[in-house]
Amino acid sequence: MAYLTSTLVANAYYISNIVSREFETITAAQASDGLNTLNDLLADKTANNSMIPYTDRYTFNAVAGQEAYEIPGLIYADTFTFFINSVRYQTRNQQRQQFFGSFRAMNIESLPFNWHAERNFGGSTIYLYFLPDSAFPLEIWGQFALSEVTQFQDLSLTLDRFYLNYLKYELAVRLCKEYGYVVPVGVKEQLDEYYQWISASTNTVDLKMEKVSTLSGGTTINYAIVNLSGGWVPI
Amino acid sequence: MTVTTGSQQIPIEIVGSSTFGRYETVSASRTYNMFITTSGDGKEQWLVNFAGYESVKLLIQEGTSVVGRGIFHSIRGDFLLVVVGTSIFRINDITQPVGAPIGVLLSSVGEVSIDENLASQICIVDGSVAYIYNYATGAFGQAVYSSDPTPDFTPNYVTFQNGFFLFGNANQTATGNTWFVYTSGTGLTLNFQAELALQTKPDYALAVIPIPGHANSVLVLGSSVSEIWSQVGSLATYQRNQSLNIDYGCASVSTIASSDTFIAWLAINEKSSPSIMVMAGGQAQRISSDGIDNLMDTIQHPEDSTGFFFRQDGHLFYVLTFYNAADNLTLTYDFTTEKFFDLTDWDYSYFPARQVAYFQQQLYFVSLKDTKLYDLGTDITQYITFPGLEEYDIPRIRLTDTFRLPTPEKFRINLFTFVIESGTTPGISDIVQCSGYILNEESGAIIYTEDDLPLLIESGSCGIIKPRVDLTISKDGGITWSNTVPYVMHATGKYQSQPRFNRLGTGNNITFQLRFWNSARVVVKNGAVEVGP
Repeated sequence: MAYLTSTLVANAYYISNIVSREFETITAAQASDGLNTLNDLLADKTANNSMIPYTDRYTFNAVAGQEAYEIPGLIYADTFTFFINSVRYQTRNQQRQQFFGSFRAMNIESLPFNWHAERNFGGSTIYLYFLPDSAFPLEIWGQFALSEVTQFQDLSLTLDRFYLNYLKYELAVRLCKEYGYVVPVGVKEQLDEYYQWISASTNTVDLKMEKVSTLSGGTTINYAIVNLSGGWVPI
Repeated sequence: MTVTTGSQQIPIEIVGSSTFGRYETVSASRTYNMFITTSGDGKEQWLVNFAGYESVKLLIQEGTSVVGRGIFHSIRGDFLLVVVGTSIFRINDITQPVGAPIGVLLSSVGEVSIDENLASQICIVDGSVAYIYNYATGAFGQAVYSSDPTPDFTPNYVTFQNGFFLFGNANQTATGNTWFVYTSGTGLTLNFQAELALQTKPDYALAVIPIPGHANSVLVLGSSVSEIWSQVGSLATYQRNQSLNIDYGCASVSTIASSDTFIAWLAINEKSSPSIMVMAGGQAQRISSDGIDNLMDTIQHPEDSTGFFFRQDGHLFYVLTFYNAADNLTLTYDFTTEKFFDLTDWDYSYFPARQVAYFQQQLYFVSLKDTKLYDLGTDITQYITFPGLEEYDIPRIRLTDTFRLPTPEKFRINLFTFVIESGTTPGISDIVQCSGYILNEESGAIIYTEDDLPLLIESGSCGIIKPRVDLTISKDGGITWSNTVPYVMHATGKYQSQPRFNRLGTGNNITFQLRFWNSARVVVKNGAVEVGP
């Protein structure tokens, strides 16, 4: 069943009791305010991604010798892998200090085993090391910003109903703040429940630990391996 | 009532009257076809339905343009005299068919004034001619003035006091300030007693009416002034009160009415627009508020008006109707509660009653709209007419005054609720109402199937009617109104009822409009609104 943005906005006004569901219809100005506020809410998710329910895949191709790749809308990259002949290769995420601040030869084109992501305007930039030496297919799993919506967009095509319900309550709270009304207790309680449900069940970070041992022998990539074997090591 | 945290309960006056602010924003409070009744100890006040009406006699076949003009109960003759169009009907027994007219007037429109004397003479004045119906002889005709067959006055209004017929004068000539006193004669004859003059202002003596409760005193109404005259026994005529007059005259003679100790009329003078004036105890005062007077200012045809008193359920009502299509409104003032209310017909047009008479333990009125005689009473809750036995719900509407916080802050309205009687009247729930009956051609009766279902034409349909209350709200002081939300009343026998309307949105003022759709009685009490930040 279609669920238009205008319906969500109107319902938010109704449950906030700023507008009476039975006696009134929201005005054009209120509809416009509601839509803007909803888009504000969606945009604010890029600053606090804890309530974004979905993790998505983003694929693109490496460019030989190119270190940085802009990924539109990317908020948080969970995994980064590359493919060679249908085989997926694991990489290591390095933090800013290690990636940008450590000793490094900058002219080596090889397999991009190390990466680092930085947020920037409109998304994130993925930095790779070594610089790719050919057009590997690359794949990112992560969280992406929610898109702006329009007044009569069918939200059921892009968002699940439970998330629309959550957005409705969050929008109701935001509207109360915008209009200067106290948030109804029932609305606040329901929104808290949605916070718990969504953050606990749909937006789970994979916290499985992965250690790289310096004593395991042979698998650590180093400058010599890259230069002598092109990154390939015997099993 | 559950109170939301941080909210407060505010009483809403549903048991209220029409207060007529200068603008809706000043006062939106209106009550249509209902009035306030009070318990014997005065502690309880409820809003209940005003009287309904049912046609009991069709005096002239429908299809004519004439309407009712006057009704009079002859105490000594014990009959009703009803004037419709040019015809005068005598009704001795309301349960019996009405006979042929006992007389015919020269005029066919306009209100008539009627009174009787002690000599079996009933005088009818239509604003230009005085007629006498002598019920002892059955004679009817124009009054014969014994001493002067063509007196220099035009009978405008007639009342009786102390053996005299007192005539107001419709003449707009130099002698138009005179009013006349006649005693009874024989047959159709009246004997001249006195010619008196309105003196305080240069004016016309339009009407003379006895002051109720003041045995020998009369009020002589001009168009801009009124004088009090008293009959002095030794002189057998009237003397003007030298120390007192009322600086208002009468805008429409038909609005003059008296009962108990009151005279009410639509007043006016050379400096003032119309207002409603009441005289009691020798003193007159304006009872209309500035809002009502503003309404009176908008009346385009004050001459097309009528007023009468009647007492119902212990309440004395003065009903004032402006029946011209350009005005089309009726107000009533309840002298018991000292409050105004609006009255309408079933179709929201002016209230149809013109004059009322109490006869054989029932109130009757002639209609401004048709040729029927109507029975009036609060035990009748609808407008019922025949032939065809058509029943119409009378609109019962209450617009509360506008609630605002002491400061001009916005607030959220969480709940509106009130108390209403429910389930007391048998047979009003789940009434099946159909349209498009197939009728028997000869009798006009509805044709039913063997299962007792009415046969309908192709476009006919039936629906179930339940008593309900419709609520609309206004957040701009009663200027514009919201969608209508119904509350369906409980079935007969289910007495507990508390309409609750939740989540009414936000605003910095709110007005409630309640419409009670019910073929039975309506009994409603004050409510409350729960508002929060």
